[in-house]
Amino acid sequence: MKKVLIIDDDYDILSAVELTLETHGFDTIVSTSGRNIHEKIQEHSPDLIILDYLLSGKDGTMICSNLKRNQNTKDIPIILFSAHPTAKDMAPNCGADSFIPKPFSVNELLNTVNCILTDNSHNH
Amino acid sequence: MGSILETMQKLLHWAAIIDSSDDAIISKSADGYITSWNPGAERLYGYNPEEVIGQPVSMLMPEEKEDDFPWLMESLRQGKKVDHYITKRKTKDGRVIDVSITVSPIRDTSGQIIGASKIARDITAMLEQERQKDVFISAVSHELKTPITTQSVYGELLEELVRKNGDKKYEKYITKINEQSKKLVKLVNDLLELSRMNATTFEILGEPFSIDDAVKSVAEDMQTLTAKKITTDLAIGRNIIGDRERIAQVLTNLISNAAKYSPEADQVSVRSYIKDSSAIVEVKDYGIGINKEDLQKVFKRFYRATLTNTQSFPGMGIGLSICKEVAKKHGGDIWAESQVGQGSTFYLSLPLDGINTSAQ
Repeated sequence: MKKVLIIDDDYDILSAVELTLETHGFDTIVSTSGRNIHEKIQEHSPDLIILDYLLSGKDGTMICSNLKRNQNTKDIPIILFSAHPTAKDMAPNCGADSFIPKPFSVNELLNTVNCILTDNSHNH
Repeated sequence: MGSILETMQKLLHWAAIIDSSDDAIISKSADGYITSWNPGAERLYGYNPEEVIGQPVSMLMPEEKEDDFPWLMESLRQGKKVDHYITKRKTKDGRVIDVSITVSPIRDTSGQIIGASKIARDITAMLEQERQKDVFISAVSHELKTPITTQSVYGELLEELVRKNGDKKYEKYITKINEQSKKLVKLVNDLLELSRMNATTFEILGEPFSIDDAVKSVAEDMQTLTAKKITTDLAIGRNIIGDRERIAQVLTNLISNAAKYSPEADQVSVRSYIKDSSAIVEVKDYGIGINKEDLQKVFKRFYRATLTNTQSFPGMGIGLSICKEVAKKHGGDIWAESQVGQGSTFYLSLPLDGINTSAQ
């Protein structure tokens, strides 16, 4: 079962994404902040990270850039998601593998997740 | 004598109008030197006539708008009028203000251009109001997105569950809820798009692309969403300069409207062709049509046609205003012809020789 780490400071979105992925056969770990992210990754070894673009406290793009620069985490695919209108243009700059605009549908979320995981398994 | 007196009276009358105008009204020579300066100009720019008459008009242009001078002079040489051009100008005390200017060539009795009149209006306050309104719309739409996302996702999961359990009655209810959620999502996205479009920072890309390919691709995508046959007849056959994604958004809107407003018809026709150095895309439906009065207003924000029959169509009336903005940003236009009961044809025209930058 593929494991997905979901990070969003909005608890309702977090729960909705968690429930969607769990009911479609994924294992999930959730967090409302980017704090201790390295410890979480080390503990759970996620196959994918879904990260909010603007987190209160720490910028999602900063977290993404840091993870992509780190040798231990650079190969974990990251999907950024956001309601911010210009976030899509910014996502590639921080190394994110994909972007999902909010609001999104269950299908959009699942298609993007499956697509990224398939691509990643081919590349490794 | 009578005629000289009449002429004098007329001149004095015009002089009084110019002197009392709130707008800055100035004139310049054919080579760009200021020749007259009304009190409105003095109030707007802070210079008195003695300080500016005989000086180059470029002294009023801030560094960021220095490029205005060559193309405004070129327009003047060609005898073209520049209408309501929104730009920036510099005042005596160094402030940079937003102005809307209209420059009209002045000709002598033989028709030769001897200079230009320029009317400038301070629109700083108006733009600030627009900006605040856009910030408000953007903030509201953004705040709405989070609850809408949660609502849509839970709704869809519930629909999956109800379908799996085979409960037809609840399936109907939840399908209705989800349909409305989708409409909400579209409305919020449209609102955000509209506020972005009006933002002074909004820019469109200017890259070569095939308008025929864009039409074909949108028509194919839309065909998967409608039972009506979408026919295409594409004859532009060359690239234009513009923003492919934005144009595709306009085409999607036009084709989707054509399908939506022709519930009884089984066809939507899309044609593309060149006319008077413009690329034209024509989207024709055979639906309910739009009456003359409504036809003038369909491109206005939040306007929705009032239908004489009992049919109702979803939407908030902002899709076409977005289309108009995109067309205008390209230096093009969008318009419609229609007959009630016979259908409507919407036309999108885009300049073949690239984006008209003064339109942005």
